[in-house]
Amino acid sequence: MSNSVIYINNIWLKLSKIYFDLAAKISGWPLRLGSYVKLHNRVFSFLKNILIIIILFLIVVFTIQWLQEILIPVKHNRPVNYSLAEIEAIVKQKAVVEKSIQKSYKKLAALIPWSPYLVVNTSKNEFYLYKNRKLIRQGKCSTGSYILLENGEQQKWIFKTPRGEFRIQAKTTSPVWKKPDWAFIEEGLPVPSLNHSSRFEYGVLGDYSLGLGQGYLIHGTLYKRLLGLPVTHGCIRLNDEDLRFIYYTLNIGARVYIY
Amino acid sequence: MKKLFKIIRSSLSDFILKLNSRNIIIVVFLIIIVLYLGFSIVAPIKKLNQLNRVGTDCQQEIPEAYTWLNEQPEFFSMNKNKTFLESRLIMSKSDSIGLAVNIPDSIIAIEIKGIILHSARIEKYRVGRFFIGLEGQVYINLFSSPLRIKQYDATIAKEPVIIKKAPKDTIEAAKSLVFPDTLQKEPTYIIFVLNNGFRLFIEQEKAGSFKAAKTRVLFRAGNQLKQACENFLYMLRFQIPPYNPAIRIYVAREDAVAIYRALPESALVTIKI
Repeated sequence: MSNSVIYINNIWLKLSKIYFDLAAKISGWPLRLGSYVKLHNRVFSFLKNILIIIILFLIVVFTIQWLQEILIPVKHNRPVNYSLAEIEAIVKQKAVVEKSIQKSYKKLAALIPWSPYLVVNTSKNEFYLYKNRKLIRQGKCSTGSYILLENGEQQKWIFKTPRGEFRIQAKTTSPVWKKPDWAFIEEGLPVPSLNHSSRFEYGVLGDYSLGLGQGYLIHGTLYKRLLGLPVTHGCIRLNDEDLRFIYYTLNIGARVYIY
Repeated sequence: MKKLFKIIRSSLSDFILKLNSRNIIIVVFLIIIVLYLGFSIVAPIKKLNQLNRVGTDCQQEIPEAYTWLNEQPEFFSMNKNKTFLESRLIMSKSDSIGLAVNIPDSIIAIEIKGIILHSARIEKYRVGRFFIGLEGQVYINLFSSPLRIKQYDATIAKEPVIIKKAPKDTIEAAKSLVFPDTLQKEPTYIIFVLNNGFRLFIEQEKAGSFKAAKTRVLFRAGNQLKQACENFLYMLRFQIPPYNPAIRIYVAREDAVAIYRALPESALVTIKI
């Protein structure tokens, strides 16, 4: 508290010095009381004018959009008496457009796969499993934490779940986690050799895993209370039941959409 | 009337005679304000006229002689639907996630290859009068293919990165465990500037808290000031500034976050108004 008072006092003193120096420069030295008052009034009125200018400018800036909007001429559709030929043209072109709409709807519908696919929302940490174009299961999952782990200047890892379209590339039962270097660095442990026994952990990935490529997996977790939160190193964690269901629903090559 | 004219003339001559530095500043400032207002007001009208004049060249399968059909409300509504679907089809050819905004049906969705990943309800929207003033055929031409996000800004981080230094030992590691705060709900206000200058605002529906209300005011004011500064630079060069009409969409906060974080840098956007 006292420090901040001293700090403010110092600033105030510095500002006063600048002010009096300026006053002395403009009014001539020695500074007399009369000239000081005159200058004080001048500075005050100058600051007042600047303030008015700023306020006016802000008023203009914030009302300009409204002004622009109300001054745009709006087109009014007046009822038109169409000739017979024009009515015929309307009917004919409506049919053309309607046909085109149906064609586009069909094309868009054809893009949705009948085969099972998984959608993962990394913002809400939720998954949606579709089969025959119907949502058959949804639930909580955990995705990347967005932690950027820095080990000095050289080594950096970001734990985020990649977004986009992926395919199931591998399916494994009773997967074993081969801990990468960052797993040791994150725990403050020395990094062992590449095939050291401490790198292999059994049971931490649950009963099944589905590989998405580049080391990203859909797997189980021991930390079920953290499901629904962004806590992983980039993989997608599910609870045991959901993992089992997804494992048996999605085949190799099935699409996974992450957003 | 004559008397009034005389008074104005005498007060003006008085003002000119008493011209000091302060009055000069006021006059210059007023001139700048008037010019700024003039240029800014002319900008949307100029853009609208320009688009309506140039943009009527038919790009669709409707014969050019029938472009007048788009002035017929029922037909135009059908054609808008057709344009939106075709634009979505074009967007589906891209490998990345895109945004589909369907204002009449109050739906905003993110899609990839035509598959809707996330769909949200538009709670409220505000479409600038500019879009209402567009000729039917111009609208069709403007929205017949997806637009691209050129620039974006938001009150939330695109990637909420948390920097963590590697711990020295296991004790430090245990202390540095980070768990996300589920109660923390950052106010979400987003702006996407599209390649043709249109601005698409996606905002959380309700401010709810003082923090959110403050963020909203600051975000909007910041954007307006930025725009004003850009316009001001154009004015200094005696050029009419470009007008960027806005579409403002209000959705639930969670949906706004999901949309913003899902979209890649220069994502495609398809719009139906």
